[in-house]
Amino acid sequence: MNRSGHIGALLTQVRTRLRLRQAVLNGAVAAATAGSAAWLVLVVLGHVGVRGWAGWGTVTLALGVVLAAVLRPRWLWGSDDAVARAIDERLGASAGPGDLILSAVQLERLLPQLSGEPTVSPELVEALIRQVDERASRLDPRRLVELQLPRRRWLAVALMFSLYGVSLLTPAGRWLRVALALERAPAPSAQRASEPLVGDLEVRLTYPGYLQLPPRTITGSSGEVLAPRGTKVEMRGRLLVPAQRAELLLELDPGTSAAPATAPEPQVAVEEGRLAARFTVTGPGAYRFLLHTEADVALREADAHRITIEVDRPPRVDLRAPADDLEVTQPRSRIELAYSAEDDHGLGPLELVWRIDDHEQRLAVRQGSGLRQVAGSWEWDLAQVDLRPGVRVSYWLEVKDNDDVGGPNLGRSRTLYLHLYSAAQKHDEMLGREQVLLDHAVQLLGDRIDGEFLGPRKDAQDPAPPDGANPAAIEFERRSALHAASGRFIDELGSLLGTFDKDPLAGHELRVAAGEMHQRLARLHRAEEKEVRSLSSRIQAGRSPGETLTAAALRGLREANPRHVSELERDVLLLDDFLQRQRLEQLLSLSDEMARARDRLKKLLAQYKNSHSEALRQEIERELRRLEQKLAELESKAAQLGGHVPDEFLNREALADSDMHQRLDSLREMLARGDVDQAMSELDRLSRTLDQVAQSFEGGLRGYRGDRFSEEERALAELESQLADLEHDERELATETEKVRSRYQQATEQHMRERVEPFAKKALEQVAELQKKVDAIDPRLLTPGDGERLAGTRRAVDDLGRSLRQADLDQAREQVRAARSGLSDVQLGLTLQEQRQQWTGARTPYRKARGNAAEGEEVARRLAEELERQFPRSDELLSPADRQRLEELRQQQAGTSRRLEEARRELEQRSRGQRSPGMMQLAGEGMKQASQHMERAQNQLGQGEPRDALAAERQAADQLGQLRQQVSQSRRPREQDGRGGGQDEVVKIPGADEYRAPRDFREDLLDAMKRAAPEAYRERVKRFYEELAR
Amino acid sequence: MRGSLVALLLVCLGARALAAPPAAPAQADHVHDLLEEWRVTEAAAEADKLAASDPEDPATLLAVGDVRFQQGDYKGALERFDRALVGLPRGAGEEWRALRELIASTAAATRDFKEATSPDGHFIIRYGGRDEILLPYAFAALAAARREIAERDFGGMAAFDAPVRVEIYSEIADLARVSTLTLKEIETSGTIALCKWNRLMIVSPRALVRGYPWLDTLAHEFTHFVVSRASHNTVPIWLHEGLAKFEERRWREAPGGTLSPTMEHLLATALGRSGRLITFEEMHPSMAKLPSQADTALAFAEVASVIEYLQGRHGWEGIRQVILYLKSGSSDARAIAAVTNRSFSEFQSDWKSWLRGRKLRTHPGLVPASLKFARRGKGQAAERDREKDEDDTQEITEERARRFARLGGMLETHGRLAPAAFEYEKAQGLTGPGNLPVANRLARTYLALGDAERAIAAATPASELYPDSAGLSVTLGEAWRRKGQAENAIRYLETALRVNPFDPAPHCALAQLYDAKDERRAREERACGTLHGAPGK
Repeated sequence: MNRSGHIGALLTQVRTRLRLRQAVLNGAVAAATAGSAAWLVLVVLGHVGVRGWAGWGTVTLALGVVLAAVLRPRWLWGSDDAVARAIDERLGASAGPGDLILSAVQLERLLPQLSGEPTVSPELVEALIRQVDERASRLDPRRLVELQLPRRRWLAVALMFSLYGVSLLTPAGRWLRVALALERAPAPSAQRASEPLVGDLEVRLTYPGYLQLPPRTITGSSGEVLAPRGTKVEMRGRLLVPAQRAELLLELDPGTSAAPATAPEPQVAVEEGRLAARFTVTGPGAYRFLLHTEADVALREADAHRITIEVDRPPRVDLRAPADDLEVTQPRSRIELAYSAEDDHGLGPLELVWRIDDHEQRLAVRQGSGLRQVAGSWEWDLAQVDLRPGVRVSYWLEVKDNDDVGGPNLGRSRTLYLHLYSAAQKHDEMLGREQVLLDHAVQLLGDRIDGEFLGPRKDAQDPAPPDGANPAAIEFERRSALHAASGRFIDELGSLLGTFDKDPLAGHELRVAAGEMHQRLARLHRAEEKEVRSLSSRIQAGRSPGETLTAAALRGLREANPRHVSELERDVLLLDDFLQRQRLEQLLSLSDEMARARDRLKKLLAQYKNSHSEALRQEIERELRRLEQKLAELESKAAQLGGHVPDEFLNREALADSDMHQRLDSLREMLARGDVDQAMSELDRLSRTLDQVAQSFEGGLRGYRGDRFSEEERALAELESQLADLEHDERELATETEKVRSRYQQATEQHMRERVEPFAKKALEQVAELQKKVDAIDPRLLTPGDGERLAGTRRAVDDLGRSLRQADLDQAREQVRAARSGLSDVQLGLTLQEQRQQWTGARTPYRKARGNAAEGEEVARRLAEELERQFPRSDELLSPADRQRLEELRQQQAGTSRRLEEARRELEQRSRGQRSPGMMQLAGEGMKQASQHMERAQNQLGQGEPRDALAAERQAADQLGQLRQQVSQSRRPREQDGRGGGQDEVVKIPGADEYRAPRDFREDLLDAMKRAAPEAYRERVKRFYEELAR
Repeated sequence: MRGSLVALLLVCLGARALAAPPAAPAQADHVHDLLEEWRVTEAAAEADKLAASDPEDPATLLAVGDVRFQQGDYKGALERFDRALVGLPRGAGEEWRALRELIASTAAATRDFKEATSPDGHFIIRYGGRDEILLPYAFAALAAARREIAERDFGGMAAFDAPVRVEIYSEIADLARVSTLTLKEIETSGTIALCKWNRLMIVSPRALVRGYPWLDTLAHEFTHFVVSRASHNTVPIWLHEGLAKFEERRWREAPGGTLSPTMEHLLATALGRSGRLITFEEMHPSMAKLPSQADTALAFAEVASVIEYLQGRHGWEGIRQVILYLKSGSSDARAIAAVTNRSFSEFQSDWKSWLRGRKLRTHPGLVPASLKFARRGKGQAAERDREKDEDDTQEITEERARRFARLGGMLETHGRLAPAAFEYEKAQGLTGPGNLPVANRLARTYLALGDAERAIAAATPASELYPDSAGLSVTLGEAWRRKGQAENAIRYLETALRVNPFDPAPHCALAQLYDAKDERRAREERACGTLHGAPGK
């Protein structure tokens, strides 16, 4: 087709506009028509009670009609001819004769045919087309087809749609809503029945499954329903009025949103004069039956039947133990929780919930049982809690029921609190109290010094008393007030003394010093008390103070005051010294804690480097936060100390100049970047800074102690050094004795090897006999204690046989002793039992058992003697050189012992003059014990018993070492939490089965067993060693 | 330094050095020599000539850089040193590298400094932060020092062709950064100021807990400057320090000032049976290298008395002659001998005899005041609070007195002034009236109790022993002010300012005491207002 351009363009533009115009017009007309029709149909449907699909079908049909009307113009204006015709029509006469555009369109279509079959001159046609085309170029499609509809039409359409919408929303549109199933049809207007409509009602309630209740049938029911939500209700009854059909009219309780019953819709069936209805209870409300009688009369029950919800009460849980808040001392301990829980229908899971700060965690205590009541106890392993000293954990129990209809109900116990004991926190509180005490002491000292200026002094600055007042009486009044203030201070000090026990970090020296201070002050107070009372009596005896009290009478009080001043001066300084020392120690402890946190961080980083576990990452973050907290605490405490401790002893620069905050920040950044190697290097740098800070604090503390506690510090330093020397010498001695003992042991073994085999064979027979005797003793005849002894004896006899088979006579000797001793005890126990039973006539079994025990003991005695005879005397086995060596060692031991004794005496003398002799007294006691060990070692060496001597020497050395450590610890602050650095480590305790005492250890134990214990404890000690050796 | 330069450049700079005309290193050496002789203007002229002929020669760059450094242009100096040292192999030119590091750290330490020129244009002070408050006092003291020391006593021997530069550092650590002294050496010897590289360097009095006589120190360093210039840096350390010590109070006192009680005490003790004088050799190369502040103080007392002796015998003319001999290349022994007609050992012996003949007496209980540097941990508190906060009881050597003083301090802290005074009195009973911490505390407490009379009585004996105690001076100044004796009050308060100008108390008191027409009144009012409102840095 070679259509000219302007005609084609005109056709396209006009077609579009024609389609649009027609679509709008058609749509409006169709909407009006179909909408009105649908509205009418819906109302009718609603009235007749047809709901749902029919209503929506009508709406769909109406929409379909409107859609068709809108789409129709597309088809109508599809051909060029129709459009050309429409243009020609609009142009009318103005266009000239005939259908000009249509002709051009049609002729253009015929043009190819005309060239082959020239009915008309093609040139002429082309000329026409050109002419029309030129004309078409001047035509404006907008003027040919106007889109704008008359406003009146638009308004009519809009009004119509508004009416539809409004009618749907207003009460008048109720039937529309019913037809569209948006609302239930209202009950047909019914007459209120004057008589019952349904009788012999039987109600069957099927409860929700979670209640685990059997169905319940209620015959002769009034129709009232009392059931939990979710209960299925089935009703059967007899129609008292003949009816074609029936309905159930549901009524909501005012204020409730839930319908009394839910889908499936209440179903009501009528058959042969009987009615059956079913529904599910979903909320409170009421219902009535509506009967349609055969005469098509609707009858409604006069009284509604109540639907009452039987409430599923939330479960109740009681946390019965612990009774109160708890303070635990170990972060990994377990605490027992006792609980009881109950629910009206059945219990779900029971959980423990705890919260630290805002972080809540929970743990299952027991699974849901469905039981209505449970009670029990449960151990809470605190290792699962991130417990840190001083932290406060709130915890409670939560239990749910199994309500799967309305959702589970929750029961919650009371909240209890758990603290992890923090020695540091306690100590901090204690220091606060000490500071208050010190402040009061200073004030009291000030008062007492003011007291020096009371009375007739030339430099007294008090104004003259008012006329008529007795100056002595005024002075007495003031001195009495001073006395009372002293009393209050002494009470306060006494109260503080009482709380020292709660602070394990309060040094022993401080306790002693404060105790002595209290005594001194109390003594002064008592003396002053006499004076005050005596003067008070005099005043009371007189008619007026002025008549009875003279200045001279106050002499005693005046003379006492300087003693108070002097004492308080001493006490103030002492309290201040101790307080600041403890604060410096606190700083050092904090830096120690930081060092421990640093070490943990190092370990964690090393682990994280390999695993990159998220849990470790979080642990690292926690540890970093801990470090930051400690650093902040350290800075705060150092700042607080500023005004109290001279600069010489507190190097603030070390902390102020440290770059620990920066390092911690960059460490965190490096970790965030995942650069663990860099982070570890940064931690190393932080470590060095931290060590420097700690060193600086340590130096400061040492300086402070040297300055303020110089005498004591010197004494303790000297003592530590002496103890170290003595320990060293004693260990040297033990090393030398060990050499002799080793040779002695070899000689003994050689000697025994020659004798042991023939002896063991014979001895085993005796052991068999012994075993028989022991086995024959009925343990049921024994008291629990003797029963245990018998069991121990049996074990000893078993071991004895084993030792003899292994040719270990040394062991066998100890075991036979144990067996003999056990049998002796058992025998005694049986004798006593036998005596008790003499009145009951049941003595025979006891006598028999006692006889077995006695015979067994006799066998053991013989065996012990024979065993003993197998052992040579030590001097037989020791070479002359070793005997000589033992003598030398004995002399050495005597020398060490002498030095120890001298050091102890010196210490005693020193401690007498000390203001805080606590540690020294302790050391003195320890040295005395070490001295006893040395004395025993000396005796054993003299008797040629290297084994016994060695044990005593080791004990002496250990004792000295322990003492040295104690002295060292007392010079350095103890760990902040009193538990050292292991608090965060998992403590592994090897199982008893895994553990076997090494031979050397057993030997040492046996050596120790030989030493004499006090008579009253001998047996207990022996048994203790036996158990230990096993 | 000079000797190594030629070798260094020949060896290390390869072909370029070998191809360069040999004149450049030699001329560069000359520049460095001139600088060593404190002839900065001449050195600068020589360096300019070198720069014009061969500006990129490393030797030229080092020479010009050295001159710039001594002229105070640290940035320019650093830039030239960097260019000169860039091609140097590792291990070569260590001395120059060390100097380069010193210049770099000086530049860093003074980066934020401001600069002020004295009204007469003779001095330029570079300072930072709150040290601005020092300027009027420093300019006045330096002007007086120039007049009395440079012009009168030294008779204009020293040439001043450019303003003298002074730098004030806020911390002793900065002094360590701009000098070759370590922090430990500074703390040990109590060195607080230096005169080197053509400038005066002092630490701000706010860097010390109790301040220090900073204006005297400024005059002391200025004397070094004059002597170095006048002698072309040929004066040995003992004489240098002697002159400086002898002249340090000249700006405020007439000639022939007497020995301070501390100096007298130190000398008397050293001359005693168990004592020992520090030899002149031990003083070399610097007083700052002596092992303790006490040794340094004794050394200063000795050399000051030597100058007193020399000046007394031969007058300023004699001293100027000694300097001229030294400048001409004579040794100190020869110069002394030439002027005194006695051998050096005879001269020393004469001096000791003269010293003994003065019947110097010890002051029992006197503890030579040592400098107490402010710790940064305490820097958070304003300077004015430092001295008050300081627990100086540790300085009381007598154990019982220290305990009473501690008790007094605690009572004072608790607002119990009368009982505090009671304890301080007991402490003073044990130490005697000359104990500085006890006297200071007691006087302060009396003053707080409103008893100016007793405060003066308690503080005066100690003040005579420790005239440079700012604390005592303030207390005495305030006590006299309350008694209505303005002249005495001003005297003590001005003394306090010479030591601790960051304490607002003397400024505020002086603002009331100066006559309304006195221009100093406005200055003190400003300082009082500034310090009262200013937080510590």
